[in-house]
Amino acid sequence: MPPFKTLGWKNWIIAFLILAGLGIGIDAVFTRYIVLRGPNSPSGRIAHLLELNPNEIPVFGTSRVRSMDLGTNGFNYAQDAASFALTDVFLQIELAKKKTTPIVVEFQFSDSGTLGDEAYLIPFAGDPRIRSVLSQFHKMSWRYFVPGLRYFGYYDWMLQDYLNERRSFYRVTRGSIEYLRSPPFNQARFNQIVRQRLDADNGFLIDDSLTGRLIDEIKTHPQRLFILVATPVHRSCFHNFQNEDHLKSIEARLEAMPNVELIDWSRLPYPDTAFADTVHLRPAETADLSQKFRIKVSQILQQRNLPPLITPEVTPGVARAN
Amino acid sequence: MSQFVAFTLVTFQMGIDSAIYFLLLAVVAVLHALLPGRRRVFLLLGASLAFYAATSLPYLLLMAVLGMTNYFAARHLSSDSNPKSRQWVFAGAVLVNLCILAAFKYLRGQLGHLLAGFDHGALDSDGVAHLAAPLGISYFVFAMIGCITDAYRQTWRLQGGIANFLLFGLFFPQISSGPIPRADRLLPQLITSATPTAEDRIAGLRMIAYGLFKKYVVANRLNEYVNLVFASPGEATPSQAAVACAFNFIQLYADFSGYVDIAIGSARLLGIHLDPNFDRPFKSTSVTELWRRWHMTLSFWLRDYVYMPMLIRIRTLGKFGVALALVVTFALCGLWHGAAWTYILFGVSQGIAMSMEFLSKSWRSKAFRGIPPAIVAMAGNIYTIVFFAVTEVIFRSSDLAQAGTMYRALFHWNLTTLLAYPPLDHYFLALDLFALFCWWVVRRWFVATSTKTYWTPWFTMACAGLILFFGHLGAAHFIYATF
Repeated sequence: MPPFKTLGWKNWIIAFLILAGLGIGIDAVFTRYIVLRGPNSPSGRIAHLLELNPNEIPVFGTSRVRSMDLGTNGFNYAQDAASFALTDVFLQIELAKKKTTPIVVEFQFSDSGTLGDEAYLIPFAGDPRIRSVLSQFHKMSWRYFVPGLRYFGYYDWMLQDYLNERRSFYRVTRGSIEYLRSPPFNQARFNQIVRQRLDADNGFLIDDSLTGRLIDEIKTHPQRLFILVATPVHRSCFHNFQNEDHLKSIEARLEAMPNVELIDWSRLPYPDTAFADTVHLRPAETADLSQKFRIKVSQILQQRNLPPLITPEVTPGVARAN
Repeated sequence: MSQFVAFTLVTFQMGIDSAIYFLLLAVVAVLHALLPGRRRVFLLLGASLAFYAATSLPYLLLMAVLGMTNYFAARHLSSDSNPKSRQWVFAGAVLVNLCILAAFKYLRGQLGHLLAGFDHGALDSDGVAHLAAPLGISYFVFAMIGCITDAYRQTWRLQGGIANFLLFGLFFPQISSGPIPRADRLLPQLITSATPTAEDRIAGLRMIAYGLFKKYVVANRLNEYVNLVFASPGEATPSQAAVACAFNFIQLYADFSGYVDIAIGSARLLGIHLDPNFDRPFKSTSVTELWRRWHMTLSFWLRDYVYMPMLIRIRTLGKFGVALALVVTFALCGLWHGAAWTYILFGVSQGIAMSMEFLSKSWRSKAFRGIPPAIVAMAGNIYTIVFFAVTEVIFRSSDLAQAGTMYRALFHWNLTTLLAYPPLDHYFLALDLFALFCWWVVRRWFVATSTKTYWTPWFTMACAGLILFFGHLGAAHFIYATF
């Protein structure tokens, strides 16, 4: 082996500077065109939430309710598989605005215990509210403040979402995710999911502190109507339901509040074939439910003499094809 | 006691691929260059103790006590000439090492419950004690048994003081997953503590970059596909199972050799040459050759301290004695990975394959006489890779039932399943294949520029760039860190 000379520090510095420059450049392009590609991307929705949007009716939770069925002033901020802790942060951001429009919140019985895909929160790590929820889930990292380093390990996932949208696997319209293509219903696979659900702890499993916080937020914002919706779940979710009484007492407490409308659709009798898993409907049923939800919300707004939902857009039939 | 259990529940806080590890390595490398030779051993020992203490302080004490016990045993064996006392000291030291290894590797549940008797908080809601094994216990114990045996056989004499000996066992780049050190090669280097040359530093940096590339770009990425198939093997098509099978083999190699590259590279930055653990295993033309190229330090350790002594005892059985010794040695190799039938069966399968190769050696040389050696070698290479990839399914499976389902999926070929769409997800399969292509390019570059100083920064930064933009977080730790 020929003898080595020196480490060649000049080369090291040049190579490092090129890598750093490339990193910062790719970060900027990726953030602009992939991560915040529009108000419909998961990060784009958070950027949108940080704006005032005075006439908007926001939807929070994990529900895939289609914003388009809510009218042009509806916007679904749902983040897939996210804990209510994140919904709570979104609520805090929304309630800090001087607005009077109703707020739709998914009333979940259980909590995912995760942030869903925390990568979408990275561009907002500078916001103390987002930072606190990231820290709460031990997902905060110093590198989220370093351009070029912050998306390490997430590029492929984010690019996949972008490509899926481009290839029309699903469409995100004002926040709501509409799956345009989904695998056919498989009873054997579904039975397996149901078996897992039957083995799991079922009940009202949301932490008392989070429920308490929601109630406090409702109390301190009487000018806003809170429409709380328990979305349909498979009947297996009620197998060995541990604390029915606790759920009923919380529902009674919420219903007694003047600025709350509670819609409990959790036990709507859907067949197995309507479900993608035990807590999510398939695209066609989601579209139907969204329509049903629009009618229900319109009735509530009319009863309370609130401004109505603005004319809904035409629902494309493609979702029903599934 | 509750403190003890609490400490021992925490593992792998400072992984060899973590930012904190590289910070420690950088500080140690700088101080190493500044200190005079004789003080360097204390610096390295201090860093190794700090590295271990970050994982578990009580276990550090356990390892230190075990290390000191072995030191005194090795000193006695190196100086005493009384065969009777030497025999007793040797047997006692080996027994202590094996008991500690067995207790933490195979009886951890019982040990956890014993400790939990003093602290009920150590049990989870199902009453299961989660007692972590001491970091690198099996590598440490193997290194200790190796030098005790060498001292007993008088093929090696203890050199240096207790600090050198403890450093030999606990040297921080290698403690978590090897390579298993040999006292005759590592201890003299630790005693001399020579200043690393520019060549050492450059080679070290290149190996670390290459190791991280293998871990983050290849192993972690393939892990996604393999996990997906192994999670529900009953739903996999034969082509998906075959792809998962191949990826599993490649992932295991990329993950383990990636770790070893980082360990060897880190040591080279400090002027220490660790033994290589892999030598292009994909080029093997037989399972026997593969095990001379795969996890070499374990293979050679088993050869020297298990297989050869056993063979000497059963030499009267002739060829069948050799076959028997191979099967038993590799069954023990499987058992070393863990007390599960999957590991034992994996080990036995390797032993049987090697025995068959040994017993059929003369027959094969006659049968293949007229065939060009290149074709024989190629056929041998294909057989070796397919055999190892297929048997790795048992190794990867959580139990025999999962392995069985995977094999059913793998061998359930017919026209319908043949035409079934192989990729689980086109996007990620495409990324996996691209990662393999990148590996091929990087590997070529790594070999081509190994002696060219000029290219080192560019190679290192290219690896860093690929890791940064194409790396996958995937598996949280190195696979072999669990063994």
